[in-house]
Amino acid sequence: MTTLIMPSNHNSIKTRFTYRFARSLKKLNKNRPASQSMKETYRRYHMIRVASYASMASAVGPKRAWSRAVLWKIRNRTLHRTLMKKSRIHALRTRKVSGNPNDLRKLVPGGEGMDFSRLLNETAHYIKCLRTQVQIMKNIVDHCSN
Amino acid sequence: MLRCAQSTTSSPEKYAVMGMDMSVLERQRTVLQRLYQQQQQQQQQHSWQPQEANMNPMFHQNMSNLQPAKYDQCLDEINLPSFAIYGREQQQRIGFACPELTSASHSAVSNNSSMTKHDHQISSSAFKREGTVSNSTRKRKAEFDAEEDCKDKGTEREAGEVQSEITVKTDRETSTNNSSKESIQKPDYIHVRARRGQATDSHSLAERARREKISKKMKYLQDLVPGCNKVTGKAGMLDEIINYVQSLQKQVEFLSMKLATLNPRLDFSIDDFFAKEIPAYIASFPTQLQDTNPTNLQYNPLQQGAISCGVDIAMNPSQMLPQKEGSSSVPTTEVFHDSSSGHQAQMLPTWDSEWQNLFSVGFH
Repeated sequence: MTTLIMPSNHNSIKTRFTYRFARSLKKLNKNRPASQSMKETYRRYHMIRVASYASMASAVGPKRAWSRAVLWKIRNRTLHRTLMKKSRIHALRTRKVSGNPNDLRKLVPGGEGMDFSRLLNETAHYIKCLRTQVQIMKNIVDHCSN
Repeated sequence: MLRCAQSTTSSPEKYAVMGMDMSVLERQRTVLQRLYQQQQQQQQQHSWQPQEANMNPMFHQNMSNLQPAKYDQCLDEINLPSFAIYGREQQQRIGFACPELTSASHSAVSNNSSMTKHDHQISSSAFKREGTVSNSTRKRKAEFDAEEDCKDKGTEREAGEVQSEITVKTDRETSTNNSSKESIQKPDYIHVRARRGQATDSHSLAERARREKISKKMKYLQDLVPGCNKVTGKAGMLDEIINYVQSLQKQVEFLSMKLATLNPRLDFSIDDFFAKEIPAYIASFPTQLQDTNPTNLQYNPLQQGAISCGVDIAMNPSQMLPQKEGSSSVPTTEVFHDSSSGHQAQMLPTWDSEWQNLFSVGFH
């Protein structure tokens, strides 16, 4: 049934994101173990976060540089796992904001090799997509908690 | 020079009369003949140069100026060292032959010395010529570049004039055909005009265009990021943008954490979501048709919803216009979802309110 519905709403990023994210959540829940340890929740959190980013990027498609970067990062996750951990620790330590465009480059995925005007363009689109992502996730959380 | 010239002209006769060692003399003769030929070539070249310059002064000026210089350089590079080597060899050989030929050795040595002098003179004159030629070519190149610049500027001015003429025409006639023509004639490059007092270099023009582009995008981002309107300055705006992106990413982290902790109920709710998503999409499908052509209103049973949808569309273009620069897909989704939520509220009263709000909450 769902596959029949998809093409009618093919244009909207929001529906595609919702569909993909819900599907991935379902898949994650299927594989959910019975134990509810702290480590397990953290692992689940990480997986859900990655799933949300991946579904957003795949909903946007390969037109945008940031979505391409996100998808590439997720696909080559195993290669970059240690690097990502290190960078995350580093980012947590030095999360001090100054008006440097290089900080924005680090925040927007795939922004390292762009010129400044294109970086701004990608940032605008990324902000929009993040907004919709946050909104939909919030709605899902609200629905689930009630 | 005089003595040298005498030696060059009378040397074969001298040697023939004196009856010296013929091998050495023959070598010297050949060397002198080569020297003579070289002189003649140089003279010929110098005679060629003005002719060529006169033949095609407009078109191949630069080329004709460059060619003799190249010839001279080539000759100097190739011939002069070889001659110098010949001279040295001859000196050595004559030096070896000197004890046998005491009477002729002086003349031979003097000949050799004159030859070497001749070499030096030729080389120095050649260098002088080369220097003058290169200087002249440099000057002419500079002139040529200046002319090219002038021509470019002239063409730019002409293009500007043409554009202004076109705009004047369109203003006068105000027809659709002319505007389409103008759009066709519009060039691919960005046309930048310098105001009074601004630099007209290509670099500064490009830099100015880039800055304008960046400021336009910053303005757009300023509209997008809340609380960014009050901040002035590029650094402050970048600060705000970075903060906003970080906060959004943190929100995503937080929400995914919440979802991870909420897992026991999630299973059923997602099943519910999949079950109830379908009628929502089906209900929202005709509204999409109405977005494209409003004549379908009568075929649709959901006329009230359609009217509300039309209101949404009428309201939204003001929001859509600035957003079209960044992405064309996001504003359309918002329109679509606003309309679909209205439909769901009317058509499906049994619809789960939360899943209905999943799309409609928090739009602007």
